[in-house]
Amino acid sequence: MSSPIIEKNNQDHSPEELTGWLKERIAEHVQLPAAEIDPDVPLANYGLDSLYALTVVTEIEEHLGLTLEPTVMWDAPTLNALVEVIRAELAHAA
Amino acid sequence: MKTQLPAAPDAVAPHRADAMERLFGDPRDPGNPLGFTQILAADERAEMFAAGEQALDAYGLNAEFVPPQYGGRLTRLDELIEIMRSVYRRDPCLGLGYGVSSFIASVNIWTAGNDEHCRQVAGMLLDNRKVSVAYHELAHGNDMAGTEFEAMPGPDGLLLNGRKEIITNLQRSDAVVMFARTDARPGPRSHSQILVDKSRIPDGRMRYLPRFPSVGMRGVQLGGVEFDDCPLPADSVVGRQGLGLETALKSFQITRTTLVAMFTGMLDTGLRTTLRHLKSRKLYGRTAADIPQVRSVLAGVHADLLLCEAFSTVAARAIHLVPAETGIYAQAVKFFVSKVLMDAMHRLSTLLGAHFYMREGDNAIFQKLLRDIQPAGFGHAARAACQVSLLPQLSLLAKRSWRDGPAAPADLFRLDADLPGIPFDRLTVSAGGRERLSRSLAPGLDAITGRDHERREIHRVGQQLTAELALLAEECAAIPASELSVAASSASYDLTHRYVNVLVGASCVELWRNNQHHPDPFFADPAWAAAALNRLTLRPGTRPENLPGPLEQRLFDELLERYESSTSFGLVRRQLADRLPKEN
Ligand SMILES: Cc1cc2nc3c(=O)[nH]c(=O)nc-3n(C[C@H](O)[C@H](O)[C@H](O)COP(=O)(O)OP(=O)(O)OC[C@H]3O[C@@H](n4cnc5c(N)ncnc54)[C@H](O)[C@@H]3O)c2cc1C
Repeated sequence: MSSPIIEKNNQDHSPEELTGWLKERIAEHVQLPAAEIDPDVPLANYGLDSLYALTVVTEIEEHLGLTLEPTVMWDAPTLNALVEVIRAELAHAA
Repeated sequence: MKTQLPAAPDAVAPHRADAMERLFGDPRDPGNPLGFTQILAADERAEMFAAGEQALDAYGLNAEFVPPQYGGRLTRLDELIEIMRSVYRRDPCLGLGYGVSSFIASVNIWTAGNDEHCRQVAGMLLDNRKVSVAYHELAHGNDMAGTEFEAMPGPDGLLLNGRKEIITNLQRSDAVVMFARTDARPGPRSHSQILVDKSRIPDGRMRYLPRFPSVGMRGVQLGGVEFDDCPLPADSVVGRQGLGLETALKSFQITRTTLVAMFTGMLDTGLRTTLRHLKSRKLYGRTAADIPQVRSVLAGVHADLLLCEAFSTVAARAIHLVPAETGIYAQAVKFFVSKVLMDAMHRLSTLLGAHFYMREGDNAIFQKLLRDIQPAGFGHAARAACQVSLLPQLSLLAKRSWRDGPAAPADLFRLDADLPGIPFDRLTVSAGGRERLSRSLAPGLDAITGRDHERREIHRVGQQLTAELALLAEECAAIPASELSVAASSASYDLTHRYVNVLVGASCVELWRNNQHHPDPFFADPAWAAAALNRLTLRPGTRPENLPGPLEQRLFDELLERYESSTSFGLVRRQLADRLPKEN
């Protein structure tokens, strides 16, 4: 499932870097400043569309070069929960 | 099982749809108890057509909705569609009110239910009972996430509270598949389907609402229901709790594709009725069917019908063959086919003139079908909602599918290629921006040899579409994320229109190319593909153009020939039970 164009492997993705990158993705979609997104508040509360969340997951896969369940953001509804899942996946893939 | 038909369908003709045709007989024979006269009388009374329902019981229609492992005949969606076209071309109220409302309900169960749920629903259907499906609440329309009806889990099972409205067969069904909130928190894991077996409901906890009368589908009994602290065992949850949206997104891929595909049966009757009227109508010293403008419209509508059937055939085969991609095609079919069908019926009504407005007489079936076809545009998802489902995929599609990549497998188009069973377990919530149909167009065009008028037309439109795909790939790669949901501007909605055209065009070209040895020589004739492609509206919001002269003549001749031989007008030509009026 990895993209040949944007293959980046599990190089040093600190939780801070991941959270920052994800915040940008979400903020752009819900049209809020990234700083206003609290990583402990469910993203649905900011108006994240559940279908769009499926697309964000694909972007994460391309950014990090790993494979995730398409519904991972449905099961991990906050940024912090999501970052935790991603880090576990990265560790698993390493 | 109450049917004498074989459980395993014969891979070749005779088709079970032919059995349905014979069972219902000539719809225009006034002495036929299953004909239009009786169908219209039931419609006037806003009742289901009782004799028709008995005939469908005798045929065992419900068995067509049940997979073979549960005792039914649901193996191929293209066959189901064809059988249902024979029903829809006579009485769409039977199509929906006898048939597909139970089909939608059961597809939820085949997709996500456990073995016990599947057996239970199969048992009801094979016993000629009805199962309703209740997603809709008046307060929320298409906004499923807004669902308020709840089935909250507690220590003693579920507690049902709230209402569902405008639900087919709600009162006369044995069970209802209900979309319910099972978690108070917002988000996509807060809903579940609940299989409500009415025999398990304690007295006094469920109340039916008065029937909702409707403009079209008048015989269909649209009901509502209200629950008040109604307990239900926890094993009524279909699949894991919280998977409701996921199950809906998967199972609707099957139903959004197939339902609107069945609706082409209505356009067949609309076209047949109009042609019949115009052939016998003498105006200005000739028949109305000889007026060139009238012929243009008829030939154009015939091409529209072929266009709809070509796209829906490919999309139905895709569910069997490339289920990972059907999240995209299903939205496209529902969005596209519904509009072409409704517009075509409207155009025919202008040819019938005052006669489309009459509720009695030879053409009365037309006004009924014109009313009955309207839910194509809003029922089981609004067209705009289908566009919105495509929007978030656009940037991924641009990156992953439109620029390069493999074409779809030839079996998707070859009608003699076998179809594996329906992969309920391999449907996915998202195609992740990967599909191969649009990329099939360019190599398909390249492979065409010969330069007759029809092939030149196929090339001309085909190349416009491949250029469109290249343009879309640029535009959509740069589209801001804020444009990828319901809040998008109408220009972004138009992107989906332009993209869907490419999918439809690829379907026409590849179906034609890959069926050169089909037993019906019409398939190998480039005229149908050229005509169908000509009817695409490349610019959103415009009307299809009249066919170029030679294609118009070819399609009109074909239409007349099929009318006179009482064969269907669609892609698959079938013998119909209609007998011709005596020529005067
Ligand atoms: C004959 C008949 C039978 C029916 N049977 C059943 C049944 O068995 N079970 C059942 O659950 N329901 C059933 N329904 C209900 C039917 O599904 C609903 O009427 C319909 O889906 C609800 O939509 P609405 O028209 O109220 O649209 P709304 O969602 O209120 O839409 C209003 C407007 O907003 C637009 N819109 C809506 N969503 C979007 C979006 N996402 N993006 C952009 N624009 C959007 C629409 O195009 C429309 O213009 C039936 C209805 C009829 C008429």
